[in-house]
Amino acid sequence: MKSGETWYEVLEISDQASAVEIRQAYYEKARHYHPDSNPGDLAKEWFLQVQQAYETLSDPEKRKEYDKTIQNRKEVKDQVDVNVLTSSETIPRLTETQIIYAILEVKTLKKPERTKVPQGHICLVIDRSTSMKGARIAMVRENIILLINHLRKNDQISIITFNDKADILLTPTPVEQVNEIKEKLDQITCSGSTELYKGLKAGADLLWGKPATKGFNQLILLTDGHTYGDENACYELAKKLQSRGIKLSALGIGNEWNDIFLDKLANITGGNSTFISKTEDLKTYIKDLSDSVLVRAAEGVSMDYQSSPGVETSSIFRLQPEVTALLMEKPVPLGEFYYHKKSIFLLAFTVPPVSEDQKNISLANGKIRYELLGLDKQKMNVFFDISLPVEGTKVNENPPREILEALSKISIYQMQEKANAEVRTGNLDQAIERLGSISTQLFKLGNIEMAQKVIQEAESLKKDKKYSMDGDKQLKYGTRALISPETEKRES
Amino acid sequence: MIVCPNCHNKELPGAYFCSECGTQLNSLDFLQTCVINKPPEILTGMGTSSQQVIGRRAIARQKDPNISLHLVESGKVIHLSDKKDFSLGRAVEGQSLLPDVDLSPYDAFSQGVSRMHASLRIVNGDVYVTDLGSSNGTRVNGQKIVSHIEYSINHGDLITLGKMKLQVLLVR
Repeated sequence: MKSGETWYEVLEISDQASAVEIRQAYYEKARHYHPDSNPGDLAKEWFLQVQQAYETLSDPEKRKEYDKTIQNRKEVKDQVDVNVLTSSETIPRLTETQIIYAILEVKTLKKPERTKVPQGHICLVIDRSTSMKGARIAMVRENIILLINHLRKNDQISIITFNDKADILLTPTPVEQVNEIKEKLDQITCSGSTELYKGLKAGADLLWGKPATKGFNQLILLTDGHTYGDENACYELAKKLQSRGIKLSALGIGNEWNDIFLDKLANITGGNSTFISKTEDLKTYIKDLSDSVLVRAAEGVSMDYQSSPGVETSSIFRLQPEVTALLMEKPVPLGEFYYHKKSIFLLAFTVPPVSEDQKNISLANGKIRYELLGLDKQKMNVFFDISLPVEGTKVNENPPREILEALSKISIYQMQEKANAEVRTGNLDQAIERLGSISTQLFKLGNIEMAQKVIQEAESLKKDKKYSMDGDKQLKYGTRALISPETEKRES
Repeated sequence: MIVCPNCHNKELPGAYFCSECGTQLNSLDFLQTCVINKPPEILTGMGTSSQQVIGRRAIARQKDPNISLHLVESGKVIHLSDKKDFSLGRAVEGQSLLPDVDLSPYDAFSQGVSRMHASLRIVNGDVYVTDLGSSNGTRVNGQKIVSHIEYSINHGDLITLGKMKLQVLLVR
């Protein structure tokens, strides 16, 4: 335990926490630090601290006494609030497996004080292999300048360039030193191949090497090619980044990069991949990034939960911000939270046949853990419980509109994933048929432009036996963008 | 299990969209349609087309229409009568189930009309078309319809069976 921590901080809960939450947090911590699974004195000490914290806080009398002694300390309040919406208010007693959907909405409770949002550090890891030569690297250069113009002058930026080896082009520098940064950018020359791990490692070292800031740390990878053989090393590195609350975002330029690999790499840290087909895409990304820097509330966010026996999570999507299919491993990395911007997740659960004596089924009972930016990076937990009573034998045909809308778009995205997989395995006829269905659904949603793009790609498959140059990525990122509830608002 | 009406893929109960073809699976029976009566003063000033629609609806509730099919290519008109439900298709010798309206004299085979292609149904004065799972599909005013689901049609609508174009004429 760090000296001066309160029992609340030890258990990583707010001082308003309920008895149930205290118990949950205690079980969690006790399991984590239990001497049986952690040899060594340090773990033992922590375990005892957790015990003591629970003993005090679980007894209402002792807790009241204790609260008086810490009155003068800063309060630790919950900074986020979780809202749950399920596709059905009850679970019907069915003799077969069924699906229930839930939307989890997380919003931050406090308003940001602009001046107090701490400075951050963005590390750009840029591919300088031969293929980046010319227009691509020029586009990157131009947009980095755009980025530094948008950031606050205390925010820091660092740049790594890599091909088959990595170089530190720019050590962490406040963005107000514009000229110095520009000078460095002009020195980038392109040659050689792409070895991603080396670039990422250099970036990670740079982020870890400097003293911990109260602000955010982010690693942004820009690449246009495949990496060979070091994928697993990259995943391992991403896991380390996640454990330190650093988000990795991946930007793929052109048509030759491996979207499945970059998606997974970014997902491990709670980030996602973005497809850059033209300068405007990068501009939009930079704009969104610099906006998000000012409203970042928490990072290193993850979700962990348990379900009733047999209940399984079949998919988790983040609908907002940064639409992506999240990793299915627990704890689930969720990335960051923002002020003024809800984070929305959609979870799909499969529920096994309900037995006669089951009265209640817990789909997910757990917590979201986050690290507040600013406040000494205080770690906090917020608890949620998605449990539904068993009632009736009829499936709800009228789910909440939000769930239906999200699912209609997710189903298109998932069909697109299937079509892409079919193309990869050479099952072209099936893929063409599926693209037909996708375009039908897109027309129904009124998205004529995307529907026509899908038809074009189906034609291309028929004629040339393959997608147009970057067709698969256009479809993937195009249909993924649809899922965001924000796109509609932006268009209308 | 739920079976998708469009592609017959099986989904778990509780699913709202077919994972194979994206068709929405939950029935919308819980939705109730209702007639909104607007006072006449709101209508004045609105476009004439909306008035026509309201006029047509008003007649529709009174009386079932007589359906005629205008074959666009040959210019011929087929009158349908006496029934509330007509199947359209192509009669083939030896087939046990024959369509009510046989289109084979009008070159239906080469235009890709199935033996049992689509049906027309009159309900409370409104006319609906359903594709019966035909090989080449059915379109209403150029828009492909999902098979086994009823679509409402109006006077003058163009139905395409395979490649055969039929204009629906409703005489009240």
